[in-house]
Amino acid sequence: MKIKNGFVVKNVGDLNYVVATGELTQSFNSMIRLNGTARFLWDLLAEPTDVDAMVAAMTQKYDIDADAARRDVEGFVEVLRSKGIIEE
Amino acid sequence: MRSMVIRLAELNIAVSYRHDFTEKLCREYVISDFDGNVDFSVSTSDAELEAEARAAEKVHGQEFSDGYVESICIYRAICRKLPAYNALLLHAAVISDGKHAYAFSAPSGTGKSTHIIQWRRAFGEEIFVINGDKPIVRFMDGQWHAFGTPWCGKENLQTNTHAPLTAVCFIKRSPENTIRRIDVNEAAERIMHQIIIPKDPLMALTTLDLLDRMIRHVPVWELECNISEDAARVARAAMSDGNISPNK
Repeated sequence: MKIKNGFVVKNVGDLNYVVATGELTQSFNSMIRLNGTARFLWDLLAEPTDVDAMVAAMTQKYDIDADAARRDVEGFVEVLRSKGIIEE
Repeated sequence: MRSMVIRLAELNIAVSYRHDFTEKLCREYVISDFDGNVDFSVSTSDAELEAEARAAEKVHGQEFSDGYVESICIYRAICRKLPAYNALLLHAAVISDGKHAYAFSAPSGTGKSTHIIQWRRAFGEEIFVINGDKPIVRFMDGQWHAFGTPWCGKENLQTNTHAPLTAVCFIKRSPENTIRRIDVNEAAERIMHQIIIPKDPLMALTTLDLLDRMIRHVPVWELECNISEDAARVARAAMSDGNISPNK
């Protein structure tokens, strides 16, 4: 799975804003804000990846155990999937 | 098709157009007998004009003249190119005392125009409107500036000039007049709704970058105010203070 092409992400102040561009603007007109951890996960999803790889990356980057990381990753992926942001 | 060169926000822009409405609207900004290099060119397609006409009718529940629709399309086309020049459209009413520009933003009907009238009443002719609705703001020489443009909302208030952007202020109706600074994150969230994010990915990214730069350079305020000259005095006293720190 990965983020569909056409989203751009940029920090404005301390938060990261995701906006849709190009053809995506026709189906997607809300704006998403990401905190630091969410931005980290978002960037992982810029390239094809899976939950296991994201959990591994997250436990390496943050002081967090694998179970907690998995809950965070699965929760984040679920939100993106429900908004139609991820392609499989 | 006819064409003219207009000078907006210190940019020379070649505009292709069909209607007298567009020419009249831009009259003050036209450079006659232009023979230099333009910064960029804009034109409108039939598809864009039709889409704009449909959208305007949907929003306002009335039909607009072809000339009006063309002029809106042209401004849209200009605004799509602005981020490349560190500039963007800010949906706000900008007034100036000649030294400073103050941008007031609020949802329609909250009283931007009413508040601006209070500045005229409190401070007299020293205060003028740079643009009543859709100014261009541009980062130049390490500073943000607000520029007049021909496109300025239904009250038709604008001046072909510019001034350093000293403050962005969000207005809220209240019985009392108070003003407070808002932090960078709230400022980002709120200004985000007052700008247009282009569909082009690079221009969208550049726009977000400019917004980040704006909230770090320009103090952002929230004014709770009633309709009185006192509201203008409270706002000006706070915002014109030369010792203001950057947004936190």
